[in-house]
Formats: sequence, C-alpha cells, structure tokens
Amino acid sequence: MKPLVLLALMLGFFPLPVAAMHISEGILPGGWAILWFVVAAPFVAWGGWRINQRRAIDPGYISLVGIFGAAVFVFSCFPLPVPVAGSTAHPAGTGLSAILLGGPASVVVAFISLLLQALFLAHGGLTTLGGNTFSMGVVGSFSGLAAFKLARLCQGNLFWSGFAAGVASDLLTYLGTATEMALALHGNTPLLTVLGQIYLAFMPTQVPISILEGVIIGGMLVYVRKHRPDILCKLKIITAEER
Amino acid sequence: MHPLIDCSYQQHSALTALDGRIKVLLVAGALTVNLAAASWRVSCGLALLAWLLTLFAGVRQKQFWRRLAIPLLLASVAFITQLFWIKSGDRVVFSGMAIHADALWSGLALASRILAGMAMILFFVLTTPLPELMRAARSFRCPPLLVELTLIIYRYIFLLLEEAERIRTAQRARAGYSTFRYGLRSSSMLGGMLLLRTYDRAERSFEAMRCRGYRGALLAPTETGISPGNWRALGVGVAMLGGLYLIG
Repeated sequence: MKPLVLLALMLGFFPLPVAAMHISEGILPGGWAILWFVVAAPFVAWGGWRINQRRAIDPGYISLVGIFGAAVFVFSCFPLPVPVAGSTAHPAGTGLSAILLGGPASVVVAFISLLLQALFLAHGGLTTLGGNTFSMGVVGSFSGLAAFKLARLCQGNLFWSGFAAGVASDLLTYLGTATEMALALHGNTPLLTVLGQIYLAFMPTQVPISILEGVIIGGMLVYVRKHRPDILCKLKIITAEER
Repeated sequence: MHPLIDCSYQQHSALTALDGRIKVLLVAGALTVNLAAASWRVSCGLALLAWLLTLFAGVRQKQFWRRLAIPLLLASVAFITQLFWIKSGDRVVFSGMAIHADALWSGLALASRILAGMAMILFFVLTTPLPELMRAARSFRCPPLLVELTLIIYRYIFLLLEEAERIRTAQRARAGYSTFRYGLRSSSMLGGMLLLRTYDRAERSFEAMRCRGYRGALLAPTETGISPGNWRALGVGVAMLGGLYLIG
C-alpha cells in the first residue's frame, strides 16, 4: 500500500500528467524496446497500406490525413484544467483521429505525432517509440473506434458516442502504458501488483482527464455536425439521413 | 501550451552543419549504447557528452536545462519506484527505511539511462532541423509515405498552432474560459473550428500542391555524397561511443 500512496502523491502533485502518457526515453530496457517496435510495426505497415489504397482512389487523401494529423497534434498540445490535481493535462487525441480517419490510418498518424512530440516537446522518446505507438496508437485508436462504433450501434447520439471514444481511448492507453512499464520494471515484485500500482496511481488524474477529453470530442463532433455535416457524411461518421 | 523546440537560432554552428545522416547514425548509436550497456557509468558519460556537445554547438543552456526538467523529474520517480519493486541484495537502512542494495543500483541505472537518452535527443533536436532529418530518413530508405506525411504534418503544425492560439485568444477576450463549464464549451468549439478550417485547408492545399506539379509523391532532392570531414566526425563519434561502452 505504501508504494501506491507514494506513487499517487508523486503523480498527483508533480506536473507529470503532462508527459505521463508517454514512456520516456530510456525507461524500457533494450529487449523490451525492440519487442514493442516489432509488435507496433505491423499495425503501422497496415495503416500505411490502407492510406496508399485510399490515395490510389482519391489523391487528395494524403493531404487530408496529414492536415488532420497536424490538427490532432495541435489539439493534443492544448492544456485542459484538471480539477482534482490542480494542474493541467493534455488530451491524447487518438480517439478523435480514429473516428475521423479510421483505426489503421490513425496508428500511422499517432506514430508520426509521437515522433514529432519526442523531438519537439521532449515527451516520450525514440527507443520507446514502438512502445508508445502500441499503447497510444494501436490500443488508443482501436479502443476509441470500437467504443464509438459500439455506442452508435446502441443508438447513442453523436455526443455520447464521441464521449465514449474519448474515455475509452484515454483509459485504455493508460492501461497499455502501465502494462508496458510494469513488464519492464517490476523487478522481483509480482507483475500484477506493480501493474495495479502504476494504473491506480494514474487514476486520480487520468479519470478526470479522460472524462474531459470525452466531453470535448463529443462537443467537437456536435459542433462539426451543426456547421458542416457534409464533412462527417464524407468521412462516413454519420449517414445522410442524420444530417 | 508547450513551446516547441527548434534549432533555428543556431543555424551556423559546426554541429548544425554536420550531415544529418551522420548525426542520425551517431544518435542511434548513442541510444543503443545507452540501453545495451545498462550501466550508470556509461549513461552518466553519455549525458555529460551530450551536455558538452550542446555547449560546443552554442545551444542556450537555459533552454537545454528547462527541457531536461521533466525528464529529471521522471528519472527521480523511476528511481524511487525501483526502491520498492526490487527486493534483492544486501539491506541498507536509510533514514529508518530498509532499502535493498540491488534496488539502489537498479534505480540509479534507470534514472541515469533516462537522463542520458533525453540529453542525447535534446542535443540532436537542438542541432538538426526536421527537413534535414527527413532527408536522412530518405537516404536510409524509410517508406516515402511516412516521410511525406511527416513533412505535411510538420508544415501544418505551426500554421494550425497559430490559428488555434488566435481562436483561443478571441474566446478568452469574450470570457470563454471564465468558468470551468464555459472553458469546456470553448475547448469543444475550438476543436470543432480547427477541424472545419483544417478540412477546407486540406482541400485548398491539395489543389495548390497539384498546381506545383504534385503527382502523388513529393520529390526527393538529389542525394549528395558524404564529405571527408563528415566521415571523420563519424569515426570520432564511433570511437567515443565504443570507448564509453568498454569503460562501462
């Protein structure tokens, strides 16, 4: 219990939420860093293949992916106030990019965003790029997309479907990050104990952040439907009858 | 918002002028040595080397240390976690708390590895413009799609950041962030507006690219050879990294 309390205090009171979603350079030992690159690479390749496929039909798709990627990067740079921690945090943006671009293309955008964040914001790292791509790109994108589709299937409106995507992608990204860190750092303490400690230590700040991100993604989708429903129709987010 | 790191103010330093391919190879080598050696001595040596290189390159030290503040904090947290998670080796009593010797060494190795890695990346970023890095990526046969997308995203990040900041300032002026509830509503509107403007900009940008001869792929500049001076720099760098690895 003592380590959990200490970790929670450190994560709650230091400005770590800013960078907590990214595994910093050097945290993963060599073997784990390589393994996560190997695990993430097929998803990035799949995303690249899907983008090239779409580009063959619509040559303008590449600029759309690029500029949406930049918009998601910018969105993820804006601070959100976290009432519990008394600090600010950043949205992940992967749930949003998965809704707009689809899961595989979102993985590619996340990979590039993570590379740029490692280089320009000193968040994350280069040897941990594989691990971060897996947790944020793969887990974050596909969980966000699955939550969105599930909510739409259950007749959820656009706001609540976007909300579900934001919450799911955020919380599962943290679960992915916590798993990767626990696997690499648990030493001779049982893996599940360390995983629980890391994940629970994130909770005081990450639950409010995920809810805020959900509200903002839901609000953004509603705003776009109100002003330019044709964009959501073209991206197959809503049907023509829902406009 | 976090200020982006860039190397635009030190375009004329010798290290900025070094070929991007050589720098990519040396930084990749340094990060590999940092992980492979798994020794605090090697990591501390690499961190010291990165700091000295930034001094030599004329990087503003305030910016370097400000950027290293969060990694320093992360390194301290990582150090503390190891004290709780590793329970092997001799027990050392410190301020009434029993700590295992292996935990101390493991924590030290982990913390120094984080610092060395981040210091190396900072040195690289503060002396290498992104287009130079992308030229190097093309030389190393990185998939053209990734290079092209990175360049498009990089190109538009700055424009969209400016646009987002303008919208945010206008919202602030209209008390858009005066309460938590208004703040959420304004953030959603900001994101929505950014999406709409982005979409229109993407269409205009594609038309502009076509007018400038874009036919489905950005053209790569002709590759130039590596000068003897750059080869020498690579040799010196490899020797230093090898030496550090052997010391560790």
